[in-house]
Amino acid sequence: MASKTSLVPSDGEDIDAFHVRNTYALLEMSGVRGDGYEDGVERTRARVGDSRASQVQAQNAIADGTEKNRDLTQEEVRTLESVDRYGFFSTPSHDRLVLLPALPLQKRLAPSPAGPPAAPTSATSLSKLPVTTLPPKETTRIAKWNRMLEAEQRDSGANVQIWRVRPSKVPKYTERVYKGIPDCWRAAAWDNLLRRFSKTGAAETEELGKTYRDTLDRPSSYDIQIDLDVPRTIAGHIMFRTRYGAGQRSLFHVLHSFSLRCEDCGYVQGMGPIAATLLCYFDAERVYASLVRLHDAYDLHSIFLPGFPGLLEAIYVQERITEEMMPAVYAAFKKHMVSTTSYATKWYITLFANSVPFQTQLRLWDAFLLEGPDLFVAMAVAIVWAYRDHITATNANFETILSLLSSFFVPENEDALLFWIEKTLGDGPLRAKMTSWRKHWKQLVAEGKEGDVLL
Amino acid sequence: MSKQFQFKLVLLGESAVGKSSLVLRFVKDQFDDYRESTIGAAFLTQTVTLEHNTSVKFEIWDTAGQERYKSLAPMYYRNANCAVVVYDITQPASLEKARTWIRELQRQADPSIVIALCGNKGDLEARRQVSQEEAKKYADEEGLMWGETSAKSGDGVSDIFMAIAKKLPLTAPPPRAGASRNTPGRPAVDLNKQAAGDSNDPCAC
Repeated sequence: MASKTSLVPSDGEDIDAFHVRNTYALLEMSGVRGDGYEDGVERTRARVGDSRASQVQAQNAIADGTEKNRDLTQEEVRTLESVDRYGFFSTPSHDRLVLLPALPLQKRLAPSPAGPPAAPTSATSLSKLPVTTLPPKETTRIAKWNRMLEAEQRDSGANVQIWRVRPSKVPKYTERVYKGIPDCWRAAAWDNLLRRFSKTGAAETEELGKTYRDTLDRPSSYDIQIDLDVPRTIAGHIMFRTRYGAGQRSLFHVLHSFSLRCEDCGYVQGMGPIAATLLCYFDAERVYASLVRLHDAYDLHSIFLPGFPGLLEAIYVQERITEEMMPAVYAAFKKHMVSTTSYATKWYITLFANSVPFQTQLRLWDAFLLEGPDLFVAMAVAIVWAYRDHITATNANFETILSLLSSFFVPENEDALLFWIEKTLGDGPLRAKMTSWRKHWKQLVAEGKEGDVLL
Repeated sequence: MSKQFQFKLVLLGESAVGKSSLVLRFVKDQFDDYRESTIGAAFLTQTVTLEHNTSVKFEIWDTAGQERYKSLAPMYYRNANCAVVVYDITQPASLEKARTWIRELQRQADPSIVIALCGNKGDLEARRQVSQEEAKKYADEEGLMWGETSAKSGDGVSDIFMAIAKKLPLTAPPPRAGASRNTPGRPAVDLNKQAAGDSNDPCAC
């Protein structure tokens, strides 16, 4: 990380921005007290007051070198015991939790008429998120993945740096990714999928790691905004709990360096949850390399560009599928003037972080890293498909439809959802249409004719 | 006989001034210290009751504060009946940003829009950088409603929404569902064209 004991402001760097960058750099060396257990002390988001008391408080929150040797308190032990398998010590609260029912997903996507007029306008709501449990087949799947992946490259200490799929197992790979990558294999598999899809390898990973380190010491005009967003990203996760703790520092540094990667994209709110999810599996350097691959190969570039052209393209494709397969739903959207951007923007910009349970998000990302951006269009269509009867009900209106689609979706059966998506994207003719609709949208934009096309 | 009126309300303001927290307090009477940043915009509703069996239902569009999302804002404030423009009393720059939003609303939004300027984070009095006098003077000059709130403590939150509800014209008949719906989502809405039933929709293929 930052190698100097104190940074100096760069030419023209805003003094508050420098304060932010310097604070993270200094705390990277000292660490903070109670990392993972305490909330920590704010130093940048609202500048620390001048009072003696607040200065003492800030000083006391710096780690004093005994952090790693001391015994844990009873309360800290209880915190660790309460952490779920993904690192959440408390279940984040979400407004409007609704069940994404499994039954409609048993029917494959096909042209369908309107549902019963008397259908209810809302879905089953839930009072809290279900507890995350080990998928029943995880253990047998781990054994299969142990046989499927093999070391491709090791470091000088013989630790595996890069994994590859055994040639004899390649035909099984896609199917197994859709069934859910065992969590202990996720880091290896995601890295493999990212390299595969972006057609880049170990050399690029190394090069990107160097770029990451080099850009840590450069100022970014986005530092203040990034700092505002870091402590409010991925609520309830132990790694990101403590202000300026290791997780928050990594998140800041990754977003800082990534904001300098593409001049046109810079930093956009929405990158935070994506980087935080990756940080649950990779170190900061590898997260940076992964973000660059998502940006370059998975076209997050056009999602994040000013005006969000990639978002509008995805929405165009989503609307064409809806129009073709669920004409009554499309007509209902039109009648009630529900624009797709008003509920789906968040889906595409955060890659479904904060719209589905973390475990479901991971399953979607498994498939996304395999399939590319079409995955999230298929997921968006799956949601609309699952709720189609609510949308076409006689009593449905602007508010019922928009409230429903702005919900936090808890799949009744994750496997059924992923299977539906797999079948949808595996439909060759539909997939070809998706490609041509993307082209068509680009053409409309090029000709300046996209103005009235979207709902 | 009870009457219900429905109005579209948009929240605007710089990132992290507390727009979503204000809405969360108003709609659910809750508060999170670190609320996740809003992406695009969030849609919520809340109803307040006035005297004489009259209630006002707010359709609330809580927008994202980051500059990059500014391009999406017009579709949320277009046709809005009221706007709450929020600043943070500890951040003078956020009042500047609020002024920019207000100028934009005055130029681009419906001329009858009711605008309230709202200084949030009133619980951080010790770190106050924007005086009440300064903000109030500006609001008076521009003919805006003004108030200070603390989404954290709840102070002033329902007051500001209630004040807006009282100021909205309750003479017009309540809007019917669907027909007169003001919706975000289309760039450059031509109301005449909409009234004509989208007859020249280029997508009528």
